[in-house]
Amino acid sequence: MSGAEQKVDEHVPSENTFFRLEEIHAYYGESYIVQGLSLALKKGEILALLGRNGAGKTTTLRAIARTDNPVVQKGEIWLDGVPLHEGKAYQAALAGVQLVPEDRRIIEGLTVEENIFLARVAEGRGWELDRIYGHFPRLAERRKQDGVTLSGGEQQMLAIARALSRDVKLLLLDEPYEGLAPVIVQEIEKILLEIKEVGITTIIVEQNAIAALKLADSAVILDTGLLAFSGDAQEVLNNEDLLQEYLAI
Amino acid sequence: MRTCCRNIWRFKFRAKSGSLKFRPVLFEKECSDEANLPQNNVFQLFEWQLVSSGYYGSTPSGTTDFAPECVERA
Ligand SMILES: Nc1ncnc2c1ncn2[C@@H]1O[C@H](COP(=O)(O)OP(=O)(O)OP(=O)(O)O)[C@@H](O)[C@H]1O
Ligand SMILES: [Mg+2]
Repeated sequence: MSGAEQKVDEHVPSENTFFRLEEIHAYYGESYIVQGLSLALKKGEILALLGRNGAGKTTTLRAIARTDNPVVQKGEIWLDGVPLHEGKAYQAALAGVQLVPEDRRIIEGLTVEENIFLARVAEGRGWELDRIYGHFPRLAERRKQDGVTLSGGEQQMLAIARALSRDVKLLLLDEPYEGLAPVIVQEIEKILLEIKEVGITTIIVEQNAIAALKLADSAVILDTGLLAFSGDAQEVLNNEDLLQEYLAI
Repeated sequence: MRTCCRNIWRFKFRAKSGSLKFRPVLFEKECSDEANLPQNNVFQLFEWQLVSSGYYGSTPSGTTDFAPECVERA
């Protein structure tokens, strides 16, 4: 991201804004998916990004992480003064973006610890192993186990642990509770609150909207790539119409 | 097998009937646990993780630019 230093961020809506999307338009080929989405987050804030199947939630996360697909044709993505929209995925990673994808992507043939090590190959490392194991005792117990043989919940923890092995500023979680028992969900929620405490900003996409809203400070609801709601998480929890219309609750 | 940049990882890829023999090893680890894994699975995951770790850039085609000195293909 050369030239980032000289660029002036002209549309800062509030001096507290740490991360923001400014009118992003994202495409898969000809398919126009995210249609002019804007949002802003403060440091340490947790945002629940919600909406029905196909609304564009995963696409938004991928756009932020600067994966090659979707293509962001217009709009700006700023994290802590860095213009992510000018860079590629590895540059977004170096700037502090970590995407924990829905399929978790634990690498077969590598142990829990090796999966974590692989996140630490480049500069910009985050939590040391001891700290990670302190927060994830289940991973500590299974550090020599092949990562793909972990339970779903443990794999999710490993995926989050791997993100924390980087110097993460913005954590993007795509359906972290999917397929997990309530007790494991609670364990992960506890970790996400600990992560918030240390100032990491989080966007959580979740089908379990109620759980995500209880955890989050703010909420954005997408409806076929358009912003349907943006405001406090509590406001959504209190609004039957929103819950019903966009979240099918 | 050549030693990868900065001595962090060594890889060996061997084309074998549509799949790659893939052996990622930590530098301090013995090269014993060889796995025979399909290209589109582990290799891509591995690429993805290296990009996510800020280690490699992507080419315009979307594939990862492995530094040639890091990879040996047979
Ligand atoms: N690689 C792709 N190529 C073309 N279209 C895609 C691709 N990935 C997703 N889409 C389309 O983009 C739209 C938004 O998909 P996206 O995965 O962002 O939805 P989502 O909100 O995450 O849904 P879900 O809750 O089901 O995960 C959908 O219509 C989907 O079919
Ligand atoms: Mg999705």
